[in-house]
Amino acid sequence: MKAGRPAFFSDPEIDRLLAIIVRLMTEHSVLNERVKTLEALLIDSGAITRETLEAFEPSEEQDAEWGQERFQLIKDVLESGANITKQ
Amino acid sequence: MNRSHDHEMAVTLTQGDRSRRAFVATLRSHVLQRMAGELRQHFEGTVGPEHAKSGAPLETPEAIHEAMKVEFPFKAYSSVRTAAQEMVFDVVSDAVDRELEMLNEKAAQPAKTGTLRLDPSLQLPKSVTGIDVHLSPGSYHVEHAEADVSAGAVYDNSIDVFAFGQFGKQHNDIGSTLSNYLRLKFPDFTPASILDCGCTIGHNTLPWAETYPDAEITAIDVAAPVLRYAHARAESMGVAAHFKQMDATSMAFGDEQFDVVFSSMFMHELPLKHLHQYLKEAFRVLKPGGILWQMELPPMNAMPNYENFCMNWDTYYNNEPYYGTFRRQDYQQLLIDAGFSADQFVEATMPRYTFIGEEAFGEAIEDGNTFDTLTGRMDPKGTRWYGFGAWKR
Repeated sequence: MKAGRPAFFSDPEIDRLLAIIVRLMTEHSVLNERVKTLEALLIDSGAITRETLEAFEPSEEQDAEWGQERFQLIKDVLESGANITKQ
Repeated sequence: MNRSHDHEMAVTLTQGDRSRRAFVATLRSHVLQRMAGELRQHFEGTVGPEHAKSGAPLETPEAIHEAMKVEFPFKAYSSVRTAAQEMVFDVVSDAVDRELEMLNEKAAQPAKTGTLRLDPSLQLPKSVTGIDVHLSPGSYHVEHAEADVSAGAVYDNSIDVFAFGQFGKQHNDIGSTLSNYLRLKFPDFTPASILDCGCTIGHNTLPWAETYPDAEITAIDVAAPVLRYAHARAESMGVAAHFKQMDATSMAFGDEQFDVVFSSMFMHELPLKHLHQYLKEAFRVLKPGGILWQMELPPMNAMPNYENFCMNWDTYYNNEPYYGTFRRQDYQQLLIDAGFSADQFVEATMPRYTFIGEEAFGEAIEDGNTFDTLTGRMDPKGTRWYGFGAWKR
């Protein structure tokens, strides 16, 4: 980062970790609201029930694709603005 | 509904359970592959050369640890790895807690093929009760109800999350690999009785019944909850095995009872004094012509310094205090001290049998031993298990 990144704690590593947690909270909140929206729309429309939702298992293809997305999420979070794996 | 396993002790998973488990498994894999890779680069590119330049090269795993533990990448790796380790047990406990009553009832059903013998008078060693091993709350032995199996259920459910599938579909690859090594390498050896020590839920006990269908299979552990679960699991899989609550450092068996004494990932959890006692007991209960054959972490003296530094992480930070001392031993000398002859020592590094199949496995075990970044580690690129033991002549 040009001109450096400001730090407020006695140990700047704590600032970097907080940045990661904040990033994660954002992702979590966005996703949570998206899911709640979809669930509400689908249950209201009669397309699914709470039971079919809990019983859902991804296909092999979905499983592989979602697995890649999980890796990407971890990478995005841990290597966000404050890259945890690089000095 | 969706089940965690193919056997009757499986738990029903919600979509949320599956998502959480999948995420933590991915996180574990990320930490042990990508973050560990970055850590290695930081060592090889920066920390190692800097120390070498300043005239104090890092020549032991302890020196590497001292130099690395102040580095940000190491702290980040360790901090995330610790959080992931705790989450392994956290995310699988939800489903077990929900169904615990039903699991305990199922486990109490009468046996069809095998047996379960518990010994309520057994004193658990302090080395077991004093530690939440692997940061697992309650370890293998704590009971939350009468005739409780929860520690076994949590362990069975945690394996795939912890090892992100690297222990095989039925968590049995280690037992399968070691038993098939014996079968292929020593075709004239046909054991009639096999003992597994420190068996927990019997996941590496049962493959011995597959490899040697005519043998009688016995397995011991000090912890009752995992034995109850192991028994119920084996019954529901239709495999006859005899589970007994017994301390491997002081077995209730007579002399010369077994053709094979096996253990997996067991000895590194024992204090050195108990380790010596266990090996003497193993020698005593073996029949002449029988073999002690065990899967373990490879010895420090066979592995490169940096690999030893990586492997030592568990002994410093994962509640496995005896692991480091164990790996520093001369394994052959341990067996000589227990009564085995030096020239009867056997050791091997083996690819995973259930992953590569009989043909490739048979070829690979003729290639000799390899000690490198894949030996004794969990790596989707091709883990290699390490085994050692000795014939009793």
